[in-house]
Amino acid sequence: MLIPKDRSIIIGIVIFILLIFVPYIFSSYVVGVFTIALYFAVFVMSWDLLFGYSGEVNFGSTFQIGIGAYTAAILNINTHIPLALCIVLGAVAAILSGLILVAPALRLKGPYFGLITLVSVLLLEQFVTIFAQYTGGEIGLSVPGIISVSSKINYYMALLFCAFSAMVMLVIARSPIGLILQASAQDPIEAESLGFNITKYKVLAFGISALFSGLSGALLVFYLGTASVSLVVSIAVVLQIIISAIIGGRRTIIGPILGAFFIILLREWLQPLGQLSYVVVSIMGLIVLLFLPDGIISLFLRKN
Amino acid sequence: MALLEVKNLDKYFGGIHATDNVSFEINKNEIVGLIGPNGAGKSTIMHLLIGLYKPTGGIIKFNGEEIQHLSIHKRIKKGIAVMFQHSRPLSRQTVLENIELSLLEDKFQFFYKKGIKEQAIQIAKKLGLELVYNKRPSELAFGIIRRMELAKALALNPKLLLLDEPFAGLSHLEVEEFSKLIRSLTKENFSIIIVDHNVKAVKDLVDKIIAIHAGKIISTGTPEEVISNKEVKRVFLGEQTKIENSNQKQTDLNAKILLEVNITSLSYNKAQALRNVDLIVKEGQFVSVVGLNGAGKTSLFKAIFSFVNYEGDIKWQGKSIKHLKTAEIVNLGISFVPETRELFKFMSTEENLNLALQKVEKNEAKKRIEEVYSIFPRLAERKKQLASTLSGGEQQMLTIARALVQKPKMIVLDEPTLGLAPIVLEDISKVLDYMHTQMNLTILLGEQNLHFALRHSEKVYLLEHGNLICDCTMEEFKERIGEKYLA
Repeated sequence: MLIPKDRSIIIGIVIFILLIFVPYIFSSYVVGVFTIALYFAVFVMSWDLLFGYSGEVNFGSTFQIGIGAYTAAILNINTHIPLALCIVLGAVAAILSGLILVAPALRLKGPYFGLITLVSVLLLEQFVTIFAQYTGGEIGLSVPGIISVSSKINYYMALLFCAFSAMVMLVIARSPIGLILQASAQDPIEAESLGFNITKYKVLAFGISALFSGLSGALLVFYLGTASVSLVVSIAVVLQIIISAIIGGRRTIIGPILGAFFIILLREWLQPLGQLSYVVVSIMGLIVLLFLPDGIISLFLRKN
Repeated sequence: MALLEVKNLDKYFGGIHATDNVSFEINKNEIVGLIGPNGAGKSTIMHLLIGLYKPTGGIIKFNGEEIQHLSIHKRIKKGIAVMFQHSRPLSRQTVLENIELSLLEDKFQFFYKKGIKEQAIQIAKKLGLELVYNKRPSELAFGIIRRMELAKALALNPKLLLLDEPFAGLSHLEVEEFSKLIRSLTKENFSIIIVDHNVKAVKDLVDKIIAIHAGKIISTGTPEEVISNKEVKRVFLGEQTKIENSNQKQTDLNAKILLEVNITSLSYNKAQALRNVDLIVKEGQFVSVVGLNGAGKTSLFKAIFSFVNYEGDIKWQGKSIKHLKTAEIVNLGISFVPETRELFKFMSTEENLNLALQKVEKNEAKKRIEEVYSIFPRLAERKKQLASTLSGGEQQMLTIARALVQKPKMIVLDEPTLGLAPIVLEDISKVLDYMHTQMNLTILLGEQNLHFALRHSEKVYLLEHGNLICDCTMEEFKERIGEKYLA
């Protein structure tokens, strides 16, 4: 009965084991690309937790990512608090700002949540530009702190973080909370009529999604050494996240990891094509959607 | 003390008084039928009880405590449970998991409690779901899904159980089985409210019936009392006195055939809505399709207008229209007056009419609007008013007017009397007469109000559970079925 779910966990473990060997096989440049893909995978999983289970489309997950990233970067530049604390505070800021600005819309029925998340990202983008003296504006920020100089250590940090995030989100997705979330996405009135305060669960899912988005955003900044709008705030990043989730397979948590790798690696591989690479990636995405509407992961899950 | 006390409950939707000063009581362990024709306002009352709508006025007391301001989940926790007519159960989960859902507490829990599965199995057993524990809803028949929904409601261990149209969409056999199931529940220690449009279906199950019409309670009492009540008879069956045919016109038997329906089957997923329905409408004829709610009238009309797929064929003047789009069918000269009216709520009366005339030259459009205003003077008075603020009767007139301005050859009306007061019914009746005799329109009418349909029709088709069981002229119908059916 639980085979598909168990199977997705098995797929997750297989991916994890395969990823352990990456630094022994590929050049440090490729390992760098994989590191970015791992952080990106957390963005996508966080998005999938919210959309796939509670049915709420977050068009502004880069609001949480960006707040996490910029808070950590600004703290790192302007204060002497340790790097780890910067990252944690970044994540806290991502959750709080999300709860204040966005979560109230979760109480409403209709498209309001999606619209507000969209607006929140546009706001953040303007905010970064207006307060350029703190945020570096369009050029971005260079941060002094780095996680490590070794590409291997950076990679394994990212891998552990990604695996940990996946574990937590899988536990939630498969817990009673996940079941109630799915019920409220399917039929909110019926879920309420079974005695569930569905807003409570949606806010929780949103909070967890914001936590991991913020953490991953902050970590990415200290891996790359910079924070910029095009990297962690822009709507273009949101689109990539959404496309990755769809290509990988929604409502599976593990699928988004596949989707994230698909998008990031494909784009890297097609880099010589220049701007054309975006076109090719989009077409590949369309093809996946046409033939595998449930994403790449459905290849590995038996249908019954 | 009564378990549930409803006092002077009122609900307005814009200008429509959907619940009008309703008061009633439900005692412990009592089984009550909340009965009324479609559109009478039963659903509104049910939704007010569970908290989907907040009342405009009045009090709902449950176990001595006022609950009318509480949200849905809080009322459920107090001991109310509901089984909806249309629900969307968890599609990726099994029957057992769906029942487990309803056993969960409203708390953040990261792991399932021990024993929850056994509990779910126990409930499933009680409802005869043994064979489908591990099936998903998409693999199950409609009747089984209904049982699963009932299991979910019972899992909440309610003091009061609301059943919304528990028999809708079920086959004859399933209806019998489901009634048995409900009867077996009556031994348990809770009260039940069955919301249904069909008196017959519930009269043997309940201790008491509350009959609703136009948002008001028209009768309360034992099933026998309510059924023999004059007002109830009139509302459910129409005016007894006017059974004679007011329609003097008889269409020539050799008139040419406009519409020919031969549907072998029409189903929605699991539920078969129509089987082997053959029907002919000749030019100038007034044909009625009668039957209780859920008999398949609306499905038949939806098929004619290509809103749904079906097996079989439908011909218009000899040519198949099966593969035409809705718009193309309307352009052939068939207009639809849907049951749900489908007006543009935030447009005025005149804008709604104009919208139907987009393809017509301006002066001609004006002329046609003036024409319908002469038939419906009320609409002329209300021409600047938003459709949502019109009364139910006015909305119905506007819906008919919107069909008329298109100058159709044939007009299809689905339950035009739905939820309307008797006095408005008279107006609609006159309009139908006028359309048929003066304007020479061909009319296909779907009605559950038999008397209303019989007054006008030359030919009657009776639908029951998706089957056409009578295809006869007025005289034959009255002789063969009429009296029996009305009684």
